[in-house]
Amino acid sequence: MRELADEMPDWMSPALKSMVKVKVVCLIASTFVLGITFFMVVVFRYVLKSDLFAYEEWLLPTCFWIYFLGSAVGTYEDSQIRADILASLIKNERLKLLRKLAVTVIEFVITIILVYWAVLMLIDEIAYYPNWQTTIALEIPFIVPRMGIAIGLLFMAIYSGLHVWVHSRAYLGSLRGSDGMTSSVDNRRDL
Amino acid sequence: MLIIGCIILICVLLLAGISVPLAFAGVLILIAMFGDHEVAGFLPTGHWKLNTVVILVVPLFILAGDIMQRGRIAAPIVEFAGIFFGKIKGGLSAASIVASGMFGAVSGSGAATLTCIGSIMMPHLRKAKYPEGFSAALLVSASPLGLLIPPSAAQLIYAWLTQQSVLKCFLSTLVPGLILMVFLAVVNFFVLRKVQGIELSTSSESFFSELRSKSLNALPALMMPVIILGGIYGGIMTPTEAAGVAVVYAIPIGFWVYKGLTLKTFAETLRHSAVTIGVVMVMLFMVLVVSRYLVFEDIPTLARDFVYSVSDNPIIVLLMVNLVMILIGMLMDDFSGLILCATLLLPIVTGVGMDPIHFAAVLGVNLGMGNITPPTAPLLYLGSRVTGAPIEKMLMPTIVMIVFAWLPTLMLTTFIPDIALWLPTFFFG
Repeated sequence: MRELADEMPDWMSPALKSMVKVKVVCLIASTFVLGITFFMVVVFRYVLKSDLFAYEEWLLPTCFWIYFLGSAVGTYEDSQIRADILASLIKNERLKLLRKLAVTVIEFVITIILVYWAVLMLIDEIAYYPNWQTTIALEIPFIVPRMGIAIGLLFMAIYSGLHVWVHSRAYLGSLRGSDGMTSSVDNRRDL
Repeated sequence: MLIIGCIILICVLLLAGISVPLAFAGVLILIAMFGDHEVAGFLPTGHWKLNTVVILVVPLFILAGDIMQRGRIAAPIVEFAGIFFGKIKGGLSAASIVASGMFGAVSGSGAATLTCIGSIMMPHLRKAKYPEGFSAALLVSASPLGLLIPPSAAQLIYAWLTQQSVLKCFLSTLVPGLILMVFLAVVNFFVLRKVQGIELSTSSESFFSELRSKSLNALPALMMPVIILGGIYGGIMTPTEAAGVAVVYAIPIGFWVYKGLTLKTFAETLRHSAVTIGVVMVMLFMVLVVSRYLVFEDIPTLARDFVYSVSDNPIIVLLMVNLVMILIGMLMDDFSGLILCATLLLPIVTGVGMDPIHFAAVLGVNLGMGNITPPTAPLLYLGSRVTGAPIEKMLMPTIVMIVFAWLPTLMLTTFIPDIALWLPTFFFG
């Protein structure tokens, strides 16, 4: 299956693929850690008669990175959950492409606004330094998970922007009469 | 005005095909524009809301379900269910219903149940000359049992959101789930009674020897819900810890018992789970932020006043609430629909005397039904892809099952509270 990077110019494609690969490796490792941590909590309690000290303080920030980087990869793969009723009603191919372009543009605008809010959140957080909020035992600053939110949203915005570019090319291609259909567009996790 | 704007905007964005989290973010932008709120506080609100160990049960359930799905654990469950009905007309399809209920208890998800049981059962049903459209529709109609037979991730979210007992919420949907299984089986046998050409199993093995061999094979898979529920009900583990133990239990089962996992497929499973977790949890993040600001704008009270202005008769109110929930279930996936309904509709139904635990069951049945109700019907379209049956052949049988199995279950669950409350009351008083 062709992915978003395959629709990009040759100079951009390898960098994009490497970026996604790094994210995927981080996601695989951290999801595995998430999976076994709670098992270890039970083992510590019943076998070692002890506690896995303050595990939630490092696990929860890790989870926020998983959530938002995972969602960014979901945007890259165009596998976000959506109820695509309008698409099933439109029969004209060119109108379908126009609708898809409009959807990606709206999504891009919304993610840009979310990135702006995330920046405001980080500025607010940094403004409290050195008295910023931290977890109780390990004193992990709250900026750590919030950075994950901001970076995840930033990647979502970047990938949304690239989808806009791909779909505008497809639509313009259809206007010129060529088959501008792209193959990366039908990979969605429909509702 | 803002409430109308929010409702119109969310409908337009969802129907246009904007992804669910961004559709909710769009509503948040509207609230930012017309409400009196500090926008820098929007995302920290989501962080505070999701920054709890309890909610980690959702990613862990997704991970455990994915590992079980790719670890080929569905096949022994299907074989096990088949020994009870396989030798009578309509028995193979009835076994699909039972298998869906069993696998639903393992995976806690309608889509995973449909993917696993559907892909295994459909070739058998075709081979035995069961009608294609009916078989696919039955598999689709039985798949939301994953939402009803405990443990269900959706019920965990409901319990967390509404501050109810997880165990009571789990138990509230069990009886409706079993009633639904019976209704689906009755419709199945009734529809198939006059269908000609269905081939019956010719296995000469006795029932008990089959039971012995197949139950042994299915035992490791069926231990999954026992571990989760036993751990929670026995007070040994919290739901999150039980989900973590289920993940670790599923790994060796997938690798060495059912041999569906290799290192490569395991890495792929983790990748797939991480993306699904990201997609679901960011959606949850956005829905939680929006629901928080809807509460600030007093929208649940406005919604309640609106409903009561139409009628304050409990029966009419419950019918209206059911209708709204079916519509939401048709538009959204189970998690986001559940969060929205729990936030907006719980104050309305408790106002007419409904117990929140009873509402958990009504909500579960509603959302399950919404997920298979055309025209949106996410599970119906997934079912068509999984089974290879054309949608047009599945539509009429699906509607038959909605009318004669799902709707009666919904009405019984809504208007006879004991169906949902009997087990929770029996165990917890």
